[in-house]
Amino acid sequence: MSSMEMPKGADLAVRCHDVAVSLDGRQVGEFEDLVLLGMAVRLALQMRGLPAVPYELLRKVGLHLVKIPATSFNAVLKLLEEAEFVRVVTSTSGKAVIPTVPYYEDFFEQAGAVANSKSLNEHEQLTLMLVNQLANSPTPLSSFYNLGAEKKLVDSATTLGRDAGYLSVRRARGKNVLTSPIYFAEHADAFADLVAGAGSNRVTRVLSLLATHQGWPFQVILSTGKIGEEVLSQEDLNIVRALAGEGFAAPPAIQTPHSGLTHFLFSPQRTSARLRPTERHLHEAAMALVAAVRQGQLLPAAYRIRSPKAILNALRDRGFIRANTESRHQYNKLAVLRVGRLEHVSGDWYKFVLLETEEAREVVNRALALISNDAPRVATDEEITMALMGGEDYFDSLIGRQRLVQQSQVTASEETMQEINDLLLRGMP
Amino acid sequence: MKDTPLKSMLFKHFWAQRFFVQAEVDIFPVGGVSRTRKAITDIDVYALRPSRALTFERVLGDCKTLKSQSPVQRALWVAGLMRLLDAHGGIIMLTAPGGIEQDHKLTADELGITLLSVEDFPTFDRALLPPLGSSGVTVEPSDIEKIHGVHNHFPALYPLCEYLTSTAWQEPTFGALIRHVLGILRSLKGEFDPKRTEHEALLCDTAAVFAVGLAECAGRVFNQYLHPAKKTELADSLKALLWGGRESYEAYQSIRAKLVASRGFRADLSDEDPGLPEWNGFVQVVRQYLETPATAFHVPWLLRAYAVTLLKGESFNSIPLTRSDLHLLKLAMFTLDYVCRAAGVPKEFADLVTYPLIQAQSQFALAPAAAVPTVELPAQDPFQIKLF
Repeated sequence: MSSMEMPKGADLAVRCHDVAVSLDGRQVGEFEDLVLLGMAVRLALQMRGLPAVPYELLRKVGLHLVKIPATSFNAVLKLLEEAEFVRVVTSTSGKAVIPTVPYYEDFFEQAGAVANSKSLNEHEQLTLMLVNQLANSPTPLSSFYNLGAEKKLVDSATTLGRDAGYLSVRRARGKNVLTSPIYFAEHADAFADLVAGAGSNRVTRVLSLLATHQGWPFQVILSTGKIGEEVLSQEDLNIVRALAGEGFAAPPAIQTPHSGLTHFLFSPQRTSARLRPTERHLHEAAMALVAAVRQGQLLPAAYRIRSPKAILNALRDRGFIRANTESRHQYNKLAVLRVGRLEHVSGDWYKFVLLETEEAREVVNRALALISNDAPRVATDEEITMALMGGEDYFDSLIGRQRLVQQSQVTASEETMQEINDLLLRGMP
Repeated sequence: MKDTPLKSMLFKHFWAQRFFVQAEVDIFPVGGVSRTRKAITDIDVYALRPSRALTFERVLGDCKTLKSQSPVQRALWVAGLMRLLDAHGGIIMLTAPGGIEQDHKLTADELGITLLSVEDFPTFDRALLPPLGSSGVTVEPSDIEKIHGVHNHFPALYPLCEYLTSTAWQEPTFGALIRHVLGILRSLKGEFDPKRTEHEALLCDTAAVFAVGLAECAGRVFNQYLHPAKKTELADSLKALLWGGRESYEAYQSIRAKLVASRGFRADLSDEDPGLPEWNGFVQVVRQYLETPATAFHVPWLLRAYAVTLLKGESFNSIPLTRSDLHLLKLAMFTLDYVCRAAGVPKEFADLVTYPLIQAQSQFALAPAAAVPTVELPAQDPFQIKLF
């Protein structure tokens, strides 16, 4: 499966958003409508569900928080009007903006329709193709030379993307491999190496299958040669083995007397909503919960779970999963992670009860999103929404606070440290 | 009529609390067998009160100048009516020259009814609506009657007027209300003329009644799902709720397909077209309602108030609203827009009727400190009722 083509419709709107977020207000001479579209999508998402907002406040929030340059704001607003996401009302008292942003697929469909109607220049089109492909899988740079664009243009687009932050270049097995820091924020080197060895098409296919079958047991994939109902070739299975091995996140595991130690594989989520450090443990717990229901679905001792989604819905709605003889092993990890507790009923029968905490409920919701392949495609920022609802005074105090916060230091990530260490290893006499 | 001033007082008391209220609602037997439909009684003042559980509670108002009946007998009668209509509460206001015995009041209270004399009422009104009660309300029951009397000049609109006056109040479910309002509107879409203010007013009042069903629908969805993550989740839930369950919905689709086939056409009915007009628009409006479901229960009041201002030739600004009603205005705008599109009335209506709502949102958004001037109170004591 290849997405080496210009994204259309909803995908186009999402990719424009990805580029705009990465640029974070920086101006690029080669881009015209692409960034405007991206900023329009971002602003619209923050305004959804809100009541009417004064134009001036929206403009300031756009400038300081969404990074829409003052000179571009009216153009962004015009795009939003074109998409029927806002109504702009002018009166003697001033201008107000009434958000009429729709929900669900309608949002991206309408945004995509407007994006489709714009004539993007060659640089923009190539950038979108790059970003679209990299959202699905890291890809060797050489693959992009075959698209028909001049090599010089591809190199220029790559350099620009690297500087802007929506792609990074990794060196693996003698090849330059492009990765997306948005969609493959973690283990980028490992993915680059995998793609350099196995090819991006194959990796894309396997990751795509895992995305629709999150938490599929590694041993089941190897023994059946399938993920779900899709048959895998030997090369695909090698990719699966690599994903379960070194360099990638250790997959969650469950130990049971009847099936031994089973690992459950997950693909990176298809969302630009980056995982905040404070949310990491929630994501890991969600994966453990998905692993638990997959265990019951695919490797039961006695009775098979027919619908993992139904089990998770029941857990969310009722607060517990009915007692059975497999619960103790299936949900043990969740008890350790303080998502729930195991209540002994009798003999080998245990009931898994969700803790009455917001975090536990959030874990279940994330597990449901994983199983349904349902993560929101783009993230919203509560701070921006609060700024729009809070009015001018709130906004002014927020900006003041932000200026102070910018002074403080942020701890470098592991990847950043590795880069610095590698540089020093090479460079220090 | 001697009871008219009492009805007006009770009507205003409910109106000031933003209940959806109407006077002199005829009650018909449900599932009657007679060939001619006859009202069995009427309710002096019928109100829908928003509840914390995100539903409407029915409250019955009874106004009487008592002669031969005792107050508690009246309470027992109203209790029977409450039971028939599944109402949550009742208020009886009486001119009782001999006064009302305390034991009668206690007995009424046990039946969920507040028993008041005309003399009691000002205290009751001001205590619940401090500091001045509902005397400042300028809307009268007759204003609503005028809207529903539009058919006197436009006879073709009689079925809609009749429906709004009585039948709508006895719809068994919000799904039936929503479907039937749209059904009647669509059957009369050719009668609506954007040049007629009366038609504008009637359309707004119809949207108000529609919003009663919509609010209850959104309340039910919210109580089950909060904010459904997927459109299909919301859409499937709505189909079941609107048609009274999955089985009923499927039966309805089957009948639809057979009807199409009986006309010699192939039925290509998809699940994305369940038969409610502008289905995607309806799903979007419900989703907007789910953002602030409690606010949704004031939309019917606002749309009816708007209809009244249209017919009286008053400005939209005469409706007592403040900046905190921004969400309310927005939901009302979405509702009106949807009803106009779904009804199939001339396209100009949508822009025409939503215009004041859009302007009001803009005004409030830009001037947070300046509230809309509230309605001025009359100079005289409004409770000096002249009955004779």
